[in-house]
Amino acid sequence: MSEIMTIASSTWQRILRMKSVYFLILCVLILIASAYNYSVLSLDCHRELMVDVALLLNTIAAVITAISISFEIPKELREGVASTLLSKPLGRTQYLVGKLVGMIVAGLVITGLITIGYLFVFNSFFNDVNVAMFQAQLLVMASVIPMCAIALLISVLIPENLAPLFTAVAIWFSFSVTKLSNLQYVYGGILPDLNLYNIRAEASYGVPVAWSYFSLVILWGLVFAIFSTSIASMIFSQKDLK
Amino acid sequence: MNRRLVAHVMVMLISFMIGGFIAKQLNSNEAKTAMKGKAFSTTCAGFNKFASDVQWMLFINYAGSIKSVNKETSPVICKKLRAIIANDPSFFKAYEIGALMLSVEEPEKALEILEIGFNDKGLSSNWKIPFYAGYVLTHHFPDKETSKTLSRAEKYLKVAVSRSAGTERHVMSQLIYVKAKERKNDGSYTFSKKVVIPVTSDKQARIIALFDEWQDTQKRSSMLGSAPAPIYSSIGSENFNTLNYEEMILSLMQSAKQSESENKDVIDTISLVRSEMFKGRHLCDKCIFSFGPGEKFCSSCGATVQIYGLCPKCSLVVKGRFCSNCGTDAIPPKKMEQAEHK
Repeated sequence: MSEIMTIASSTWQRILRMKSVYFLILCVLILIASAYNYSVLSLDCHRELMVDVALLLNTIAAVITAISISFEIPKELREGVASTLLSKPLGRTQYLVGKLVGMIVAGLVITGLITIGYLFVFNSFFNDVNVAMFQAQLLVMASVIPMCAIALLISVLIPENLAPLFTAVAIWFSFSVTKLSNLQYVYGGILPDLNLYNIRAEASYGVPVAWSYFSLVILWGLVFAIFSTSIASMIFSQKDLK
Repeated sequence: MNRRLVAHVMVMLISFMIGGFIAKQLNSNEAKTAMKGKAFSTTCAGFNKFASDVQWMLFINYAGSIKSVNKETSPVICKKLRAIIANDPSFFKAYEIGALMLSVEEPEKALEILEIGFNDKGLSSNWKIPFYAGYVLTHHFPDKETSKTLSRAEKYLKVAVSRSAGTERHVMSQLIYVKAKERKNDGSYTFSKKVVIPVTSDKQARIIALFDEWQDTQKRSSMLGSAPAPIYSSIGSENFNTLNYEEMILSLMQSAKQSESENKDVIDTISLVRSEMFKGRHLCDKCIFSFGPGEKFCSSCGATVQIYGLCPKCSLVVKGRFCSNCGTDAIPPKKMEQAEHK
C-alpha cells in the first residue's frame, strides 16, 4: 500500500507543481465568465450558456488529465524509469495502481478547482446556484476515475505515439454511443458508458437528479476502474519491459 | 503466477457483473434520460446541450440578417430549429420564438415544431407551448374555422389551462373564444338535455361557452368536494381583476341584452342561463344588473324591480334575520324550511 501511495504522490505532485496547470485553470474561468456577455446574442440565454460552457471546459480538463496517463507510462517504459522501479520489490500491479491513483487525484484537484471557480463566478453574476448545477460539476469530477482507467488500459496496450489518440477516441466513444445502452451488461460492463455522467441538460434547467442515481454513478465509475485496471495489470504482467 | 492470473480473472469477472448490473439500473432510470437530445448524440460526444446553444446563437444571427420570413427563408428557419431542438428537446425558447416566426408563413410547420415540445417530458408542465399551438390553429391555420381544427385547438388550450398554476387571462380567453366558435359552428345548443336553442350570434356563443365551462367546473368541484376556482388569477399581477365565471357571464349577458335585445335566441339563452346560474340573485329583468334590498327601481336602467329585503311589519330594510327597528323575524317559518331544505 505504501508503494502505491509513493508512486501516486510523486505523480500528482509532479503534475500539480506545474504552473501551466493553474494558468490553464485561470483561462478556463475567464472563458466561463465571458459567457455572460452573450446575453444579446443568445436572447437572454446566457445563464444556460455559462452552465454549458463550464461543464464543457471542465470535461475537457478531465479528458486531458486522463490522456496524460497515456503519455506518462509509455514514456517511463521507454526511458527505463519503469523498469528501474519494477526491479525493486515493487509489483507491476502496484505500479499501475499507483499511477492511476496519482492521476485521479491530480484530475480531481484540477476539476475541483475549476468547479469552485465556476460556482464563485456564477454566483457573482446570477446569485443563483442550484443543486443540479452542483451535481453536474461533481459528476464531471467523478468522471475522471473511469477516464483515467480507460487511459491506463490503452497505455499498456498501444505504443506511445498512438496511445493518446486511441484514448481520446475511446473517451469520445464512451460519451457518444448511447444506442448501445440497450446491450445490457456489455455497455457499462465491458464497454464504458460515460454518458451516465452526462446531466448537462438537467444542470441547465435546474432539474436535480436523485442522490441515489448520483451515488450509483460514482459506484459504477469505481467498479469500472477496477475492471479496467485488472485487465491492464494482467496484460502488463505479461509484458517484456526491455 | 497462476494464482495471480486467477485473481485477476476473478476480479475482472466480478467487477464486470457488478458494473454491468449498475449500468443497467442507471440506464433504466427514465427521469435521467428525459432531457437527452436524441439526434447528433454520436458526433457531439454528450455535448448536445452546448451544441444546441451554439446553433441557437447562429440561428439568432441568421434571424437578424433576414428581412422577413417568406417562402425562401422559412425552410431554412425550420431546418435550423429542428437541429436545435434535436440536440436539446427541452429548449423552450426555440419552440416559442421559432414557432411564432413560422406561424404566419408556415403554420403547419410551426405546429409540428410545437408538437415536439408538447410531447417532451422535460416540458410537461409548460403551459405556453400548448397555448401557442392553440393560437396558431385558431389564427393562422388555413382551415381555422372548421370543427376539426377548432376541436384540436380546444384540446391544446385545455391542456394549457390545466398546466398553468393560476390560469392566465389570455389562455382562458382563447379557450372561450374557441369554444364559442365551435358552438356557433354547431348551430344550436341543448340546455340541461331539454331545451334546444339556435346559436346565431357571437356574444350568445361566448355566453354558452362560458356556461359550459362553469358547468364543467361545478361537476369537477362536486367530485372533489371543493369550491370552484376563480376563472382568472391575480398571481403575479396586482392589476389583474380577479373575476369568476358568474361575473364574466353576467357582464356578457348585460352587454348582449343592451346590443342584441331584438334577437330572440339571445334573450332565450340569457333567460335559461339566468335560471340555472343566478337562481337566488336579484337581477333587473331589463338590463340584468343586480339591485339591492329595498330598491324599487333599477339604478342602471330605471326599470321597476321586485322589492325584497323589507321588514314585513315596519317596511324598513332588514340587514339580518331580524329587523333592527322592530325586532320582527323577517324570514317566515315556511321560507326558513324551504331555505334549509335547499
